[in-house]
Amino acid sequence: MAMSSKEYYAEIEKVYKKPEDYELAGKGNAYVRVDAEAKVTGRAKYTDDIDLPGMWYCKLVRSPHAHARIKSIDFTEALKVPGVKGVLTGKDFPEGHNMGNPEAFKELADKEPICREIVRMVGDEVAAVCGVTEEAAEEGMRLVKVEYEVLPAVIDPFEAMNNDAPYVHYKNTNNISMFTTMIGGDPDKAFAEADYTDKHYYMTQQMVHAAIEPHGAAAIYENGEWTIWSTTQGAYVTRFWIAWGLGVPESAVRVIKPHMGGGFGGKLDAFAHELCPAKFAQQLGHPVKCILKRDEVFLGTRTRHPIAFEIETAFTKDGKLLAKRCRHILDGGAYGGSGIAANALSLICATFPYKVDNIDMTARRPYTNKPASGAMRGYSACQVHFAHDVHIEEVAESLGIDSVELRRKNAITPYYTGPTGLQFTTCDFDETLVRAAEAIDWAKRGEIPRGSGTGVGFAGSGFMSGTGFPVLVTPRYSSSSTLVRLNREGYATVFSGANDIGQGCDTVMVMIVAEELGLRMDEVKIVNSDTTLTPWDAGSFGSRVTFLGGNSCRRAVGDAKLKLLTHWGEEWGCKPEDITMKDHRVFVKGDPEKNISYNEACFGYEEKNFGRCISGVGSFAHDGDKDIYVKNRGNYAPAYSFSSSAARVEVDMETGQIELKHFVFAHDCGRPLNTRAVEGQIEGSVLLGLGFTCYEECKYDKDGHHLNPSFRDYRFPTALDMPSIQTILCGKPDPDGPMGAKEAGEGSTAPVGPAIANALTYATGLKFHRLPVDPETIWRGIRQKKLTGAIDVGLEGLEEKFAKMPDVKPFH
Amino acid sequence: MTMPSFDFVAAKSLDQAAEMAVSLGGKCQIMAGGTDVMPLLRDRLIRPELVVSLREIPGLDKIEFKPGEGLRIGALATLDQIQASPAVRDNLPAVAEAAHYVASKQIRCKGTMAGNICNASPSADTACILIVMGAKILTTKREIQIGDFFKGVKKTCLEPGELVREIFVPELKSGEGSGYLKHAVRKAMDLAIIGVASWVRMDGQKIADCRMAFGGAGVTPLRALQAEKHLKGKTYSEALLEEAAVLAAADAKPISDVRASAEYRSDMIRVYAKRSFKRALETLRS
Repeated sequence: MAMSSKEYYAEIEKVYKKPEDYELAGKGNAYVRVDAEAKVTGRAKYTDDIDLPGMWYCKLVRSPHAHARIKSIDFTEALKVPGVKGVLTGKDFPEGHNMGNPEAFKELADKEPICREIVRMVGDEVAAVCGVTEEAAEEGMRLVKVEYEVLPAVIDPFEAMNNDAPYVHYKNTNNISMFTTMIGGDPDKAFAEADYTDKHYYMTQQMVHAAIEPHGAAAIYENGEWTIWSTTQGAYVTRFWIAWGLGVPESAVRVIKPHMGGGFGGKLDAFAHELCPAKFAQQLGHPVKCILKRDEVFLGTRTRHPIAFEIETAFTKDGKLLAKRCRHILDGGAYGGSGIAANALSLICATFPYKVDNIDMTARRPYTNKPASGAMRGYSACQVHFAHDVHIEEVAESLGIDSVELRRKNAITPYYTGPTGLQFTTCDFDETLVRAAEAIDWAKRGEIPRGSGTGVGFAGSGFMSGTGFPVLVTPRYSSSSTLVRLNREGYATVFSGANDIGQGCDTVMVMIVAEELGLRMDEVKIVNSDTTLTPWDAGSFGSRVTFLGGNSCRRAVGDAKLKLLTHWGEEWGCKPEDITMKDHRVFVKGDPEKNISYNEACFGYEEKNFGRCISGVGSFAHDGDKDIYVKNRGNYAPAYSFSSSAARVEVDMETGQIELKHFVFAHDCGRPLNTRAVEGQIEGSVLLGLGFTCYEECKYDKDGHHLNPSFRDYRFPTALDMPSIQTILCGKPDPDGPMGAKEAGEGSTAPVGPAIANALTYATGLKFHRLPVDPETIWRGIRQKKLTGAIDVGLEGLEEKFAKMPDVKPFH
Repeated sequence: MTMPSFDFVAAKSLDQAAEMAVSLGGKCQIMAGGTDVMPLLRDRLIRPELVVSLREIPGLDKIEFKPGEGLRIGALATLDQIQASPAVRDNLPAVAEAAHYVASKQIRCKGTMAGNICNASPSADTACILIVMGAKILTTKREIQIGDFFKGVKKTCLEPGELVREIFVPELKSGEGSGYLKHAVRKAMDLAIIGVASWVRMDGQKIADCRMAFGGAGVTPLRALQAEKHLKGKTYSEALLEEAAVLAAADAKPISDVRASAEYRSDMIRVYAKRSFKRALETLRS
């Protein structure tokens, strides 16, 4: 059998600092973010702050129709505007070079840089205009005359799958962009033998990331090379697609990610606002910038998949989960991109955090003429855990078992392997369940009368601690590589391709290097996210950066450290692992003769080696395969995180107004490397989950026009709407995580929605099947219950819609 | 953010601003805090040739309370100054609360109450309380009863070139109280689904006089005349208020839009009619 990466790096890992010697990792408030000062003083440079001499501006002309054929484009009036310098259409880009996300599935790339003939959603890019000022470009953009032949649009995902539905991309496919199945064990037998079976329906809405920084890019073309500053979550992947879209080699494109005001999954794909300024920069000889306006972010970037669920489960009468069947319908919107992973992810997420050995699951992702769905923080997990954990609450009620007990009874345990080969490692899910239940005083929930307006709800979830999939085709499925250089003047430099999008991974990398070398954090300089300066990294997604990038970084500094300590081991007659690096010194414990400064240590090494400085290289490669997305068998991630959450809500039973009073979040993230950052992630997750559950939804008219593409009408909660939050960090250090860490960025979002929804169910005596549950929804439910006694809210004919779905052959 | 090109003048006096507005007509846009005008400019929903700012005109930002008369709010007094003013909070707390309901701190530090009413949004947070308080709008030409001020969505009775100088709010006398409550999904930065204001003069347990107005359920903020009539002269009881609230909802003419359905708005008028009236009762002047 081939050598594993762990074996390959074993020698390096021998010089890693021992946990008992950690001075930074896991030490609560031991350090602050490396970019704190730049950010709080407003000096941090974001993409829109890139301001180059002679810079021009690009604006995009967007379709007002959800589905139409472009008959003609007339630039006459636009070109008369003083300062308008150029225009682009789809024909300025090489035909067939469509934008997608994973290189391994390049044949599924379906987005033209600018539409050539057909527009597939309101906001689809039809042309671009360049002007010497943003105002000139905007005036020009408004004067471009496009003649359309409007085509029938399909807005509803169920209607999209009908045999006679208009097609968004391809004829005779029932508009299905992805069809995924996941089967394990013998579900039919398990259902036949079960004491209890059921079938329930749920649905989630379309949501957006609402990163405060809108998408944008600035491009310059010099000496036959493009440099593009972009709001990207993955500089390397963005470079790949920009080069492909322009039809040039990757060596001709440099992508730099400046500071980012959030990503949340919405900035993973390559977009027209990157390709058009790049093309203009080459054509017109000026640097060109394109920053989207908020409505363009709503219309032209990515959203979270709405998912409709049919869930059937089989239990024994004492509450053991025997089998699960489910069907997930994911509304894909007009394009694929990063969205094509959503199907497989939705099924994978449905197999945890509860053990289920017999499964029969399918997911379909139909195209519709709406903004493209893509990755969003807690990718597929937020929707899946909402449906599947609200469902657990229903099962508990039907079986007459306390729902926390039911969760504990079925909770995944350490080193469990799922029916399709997911290999769970460390797992303290049970601890999160117990501690969250204690903190919310779960045992006393029964004292609150149901339907009184006050409610407590609970939920559990899991998430992949580091998506192993590297997006691009890489050697050994490697998803990150890092360089570290030791400098004899008393510092180190880390060249990290990890993409800090606001979550703080630059701080993580600096801390890891400082910890291993015994330096202060301000003695570690970071060079980040620049395809020319930093090595390969797949991007910030899938909660992978700390685990995969952090391990890669630690191996890089370990490689450098091993070289340094091997040299001093020879000088001092000891083993490298007997030498300690701490407080800027290199020494053998208890031996004053063998105790020199970091500077002297580096100097001595270079003295011996003719001035050759010390550098280290590390990488991380998950032991996996892209087939996880095709065959849905195998292990997805190197580890998994687990969470439980509990919510206390108050509902105004006259108005439906919701107040989230208190939230408890217990998270098994291994060793938290930076407690404040983990707590920040969790607090942000509660905000996101509250918005998902009670506030946010993109609304459309029947023709596919977005009705609320603004922060005025698309309402996410504000700081004033936030509850008090108690975070409980559980779990033990993960042996494979960097310094024992597991993820805390995305998994933390997954159990928020179901906890709040379950609390609202208890508080109102209603059953909510569809998100968001906003005040008017509750008000309607209460009235419906008074008038008819019916307590189910938001079923919306789902049972019938699922029943009427045409059979289609599985593919992709 | 890009802006279309326009000329900009900071007027030195209201009369100068009024003169420019008259001579240029629709080509001139008057602006105080700019929080309503700027988004319209940005979105090209208005295309003026000249924007006239009032912000440098001296003496227009006063907030003055005279016992025995009432409160005078200059056209440039910001919503933040109004809600923070002890004179307003002590004497007309519901006016301060209504000012505080508008948008966010940042917007309130720029936006003015005069601008809020001149923008004439049907759900403007400060309109209802001014209506029930019987406020008067002093302009460059005349004095207008607040009840005559609003004429439609984004429409007022102001004539071309007529500018608001001051808002006068009569004081609360002994036995009088008022309240304004807003129903919105979130606690800040939100437009009202509906809002209801009440003013009451009690004579012991008897409702000697009252006014009620609601926003967000008609083309202008509206008086709940049937509800007022039902309450006036009667002894206060929960049951009486419940009946009046139903009548208030019947007076509402809400629409369904992306924020709420018409039927939800109607029922919220009912609920908030009760709550704002109770709020008024809680704040009776001794």
